Amino acid sequence: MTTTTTASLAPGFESAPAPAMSKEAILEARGITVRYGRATACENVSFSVAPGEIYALLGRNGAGKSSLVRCLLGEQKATRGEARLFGLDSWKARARTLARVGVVPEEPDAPPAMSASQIADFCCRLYPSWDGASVERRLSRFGVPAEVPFGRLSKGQKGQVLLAMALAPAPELLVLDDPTLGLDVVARRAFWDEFLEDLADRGTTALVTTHDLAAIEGIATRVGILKAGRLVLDEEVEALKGRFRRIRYANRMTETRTAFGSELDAFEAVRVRVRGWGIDAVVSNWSEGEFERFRQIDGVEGAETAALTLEEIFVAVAGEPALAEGEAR
Amino acid sequence: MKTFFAVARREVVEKKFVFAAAAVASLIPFAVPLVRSMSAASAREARGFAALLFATTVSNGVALALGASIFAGDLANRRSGFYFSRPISAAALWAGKLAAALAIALASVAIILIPTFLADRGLAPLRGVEGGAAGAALAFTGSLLFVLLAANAASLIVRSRSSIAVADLAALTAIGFAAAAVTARLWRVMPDPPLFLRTVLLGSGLAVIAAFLAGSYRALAAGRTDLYAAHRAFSATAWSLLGGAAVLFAAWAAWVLAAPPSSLDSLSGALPLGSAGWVSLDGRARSARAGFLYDSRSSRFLRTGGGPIVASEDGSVAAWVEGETAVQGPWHLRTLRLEDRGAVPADPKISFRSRPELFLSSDGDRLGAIDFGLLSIFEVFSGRSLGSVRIAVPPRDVASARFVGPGTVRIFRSSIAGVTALRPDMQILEYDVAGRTLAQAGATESLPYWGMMLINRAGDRFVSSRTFAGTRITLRDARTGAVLATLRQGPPLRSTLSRFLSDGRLVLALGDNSASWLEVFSPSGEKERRIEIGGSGRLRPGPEVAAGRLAVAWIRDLPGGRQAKPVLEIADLDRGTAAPVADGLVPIGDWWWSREGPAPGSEASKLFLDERGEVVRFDPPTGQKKVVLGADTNR
Repeated sequence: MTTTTTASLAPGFESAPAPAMSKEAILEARGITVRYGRATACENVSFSVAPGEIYALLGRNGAGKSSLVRCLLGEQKATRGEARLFGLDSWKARARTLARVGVVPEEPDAPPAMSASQIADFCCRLYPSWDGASVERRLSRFGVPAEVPFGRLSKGQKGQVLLAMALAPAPELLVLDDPTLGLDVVARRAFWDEFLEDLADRGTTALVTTHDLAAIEGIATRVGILKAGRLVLDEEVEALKGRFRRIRYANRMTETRTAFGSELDAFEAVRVRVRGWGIDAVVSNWSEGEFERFRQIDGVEGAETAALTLEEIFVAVAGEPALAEGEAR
Repeated sequence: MKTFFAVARREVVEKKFVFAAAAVASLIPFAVPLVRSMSAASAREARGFAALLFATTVSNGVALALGASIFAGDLANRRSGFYFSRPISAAALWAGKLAAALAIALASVAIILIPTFLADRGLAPLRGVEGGAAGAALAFTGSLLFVLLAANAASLIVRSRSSIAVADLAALTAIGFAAAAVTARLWRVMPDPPLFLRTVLLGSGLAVIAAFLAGSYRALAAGRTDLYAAHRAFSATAWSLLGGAAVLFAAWAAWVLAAPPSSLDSLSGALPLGSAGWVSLDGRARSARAGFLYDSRSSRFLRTGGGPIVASEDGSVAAWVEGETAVQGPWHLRTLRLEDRGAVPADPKISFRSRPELFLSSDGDRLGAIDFGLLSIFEVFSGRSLGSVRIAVPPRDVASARFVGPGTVRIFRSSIAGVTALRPDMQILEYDVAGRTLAQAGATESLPYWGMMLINRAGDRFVSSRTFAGTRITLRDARTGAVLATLRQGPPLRSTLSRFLSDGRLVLALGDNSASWLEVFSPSGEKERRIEIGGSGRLRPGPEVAAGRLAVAWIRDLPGGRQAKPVLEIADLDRGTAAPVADGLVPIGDWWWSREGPAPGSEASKLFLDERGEVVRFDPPTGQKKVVLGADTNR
């Protein structure tokens, strides 16, 4: 039998503390709350994206990512709070600020009757700078027919068209809202490659929401996790991966040890699973010294530690494990 | 502007299939004349009608479809993010899409009409259309915009599936009912109800267009990618604007309907009612037709529906009718006790098909009405019918009547013969109210229009004047029509007005191209004297300001057909002299035609109108003059 135990989140994970807003921040969310009637999409979310950062905003379906992104882009008015782009109110200065932003939406929303070349022809009139050649180049590289109506393209091709359009004005900020949703592996790979190439070329700042954690892990510099509408984590990826660790060990009864369960007290355990062979825990404040002390605890045997992938951290933080029989919290 | 054109251009390019469909439709009118063999002229008419029919149908269909899809469709299909994630202002997006939709609808009209227009060198059905092609084009464009915006509103409401739709329906109903109620109230007093209705409809259409324009813009600017928020913004904006317009309309209507007599800016009639100072005023106040009963002593007034008001000789009762509109019946009788300061108009529940001629008994207890040739007698305040008899067959006959005692009505009936202005013999009938019998009492030879006669207060004599190949003025017995005296017979005169005096004597106010004068006659018609007033002009005899002293206004002719400022003179009928007493005043009322004037020296005998249409109280012996109703009073 496997008993799954989830430790209570560390205090900092209940709702990430509001970051001190940088004056240079390209994008800022300030206490944004979005409600649809009685339903809350996100609640008091604050974070910022500094120039050059690749911010991965993660969350399960329905966590409020897309609502938040629409507020950040000035497409939707937050119920409370404020979104700022380039230091300006996103809602009020939307048209002005979006000239410096490339957007790839979650749902390909271009008019279905327009071909990629018509979309490019339309978009080129809207931006102060437009690299038409880059659009042609990318479409060609993706193998997207330029004259076929958008509505008749495959989902992957639609995403590629929209990425080409988003990159063409050489934006200072890219906002990708789950751009690879529903794409096959090859299309996903092509999409991220293109994105990476642009990052490499221009050092673009980006806000990315995605479920493709494996791909974003190597790209993102900072990550935020939304859980049930609240931002429970907002941290640089390296630091995050440094403090989140898996610890596995066996608990043994000794002459002096009479109770279990307190050996992890020194850690902020995000998730603890009791398995047949011992304990499998994920902690959020791992450190070498503390782990050495942990290993010395009477009855803790075979303790070993392993780094976590971003996906594992996300699951540990945002996951809602199925309640198994005998589960303890 | 650049983004506006980019958006508009994109919309037009996307909907270019409409032009192809219109091009196909433009050929259909050429097939219509082939259905039946027609003359060239008929074929042109048929082609023109078919082209107009197709153009109207297609363009309205296009406006409907585009209106339902350009904004709400994108929102509902989650495609508005394409625009809002790009540097396009809401104003440019809104204006670009709307302008493109309108342009597409209008272009479809042009594409359909042009081939027929070129082939027939015009559109036969449109030749001679009032307002011209530019007016028709403007009206058509407005109607297309209306359809476009209405479709957009309906689409937004339906697609959002929000409970706000209930509020929309409530607002629409409330505003519609309020506007209709206000329109119905104003409809009754407007001088030209059909024109007013057209104006209201046009104004309502423009208000809806303006409100829906603002609403659709707010929906886009405030809703952006949120359909529910767009619906909420549309409803808040459109209904508040339309509600505000309805409130303004209601406030304007209240202001119009609350106009006091002093706001009469165009006086079409002023008539003294009795001798106590009551005046009937008729004209336009604040653009609406307005009638008033006005008491010059107390400044008390009462608004009526406009039109003639009659009063009993003792000045105790007034009666009038109010129509469903200013010009349309049925007409409902209203009466008022003038001597009761707190009285309000009574509704005896009596209605007439046409605007009736009313007359009251001398004590005001009985009322007679001639409605479509039917004479009816009522008790004034109970409304009880005392009798009814057909006395004329309109439009062949015209009839006038008056009480010559509480139980007898004397009727003067003429028939129109052919197209000539002259009537054949006038018949004098008497109706016995108690016995409900009608009998002929007398007749006259051919007289001109019966209104050209003046009946004295007792109703036993009348003066008739005929100007046809000469002027003949006679004094007659009012029961038999027999000539009692010929007062004048001779060459045609320019002015022949007459006036019975309080002592039974008679005055004629006459004028030709060189002089104006009064002639005084005894009660039996013997000439007593002639009083010179002045040179060529017109005389308007007024009331006796004292027994034997008649006010008369002389309006001198000026070169070029103009008239000089009136000069009010007081003629001493016993001494045969006349002296000017005031400039710019004319006697109030038109009673020299068919009614008796007020009693000598009474309050009513001192009322005059000045050049500005103000009612002035003027006392000739003292020369005191005071405006009792004018621009500066009762405001």
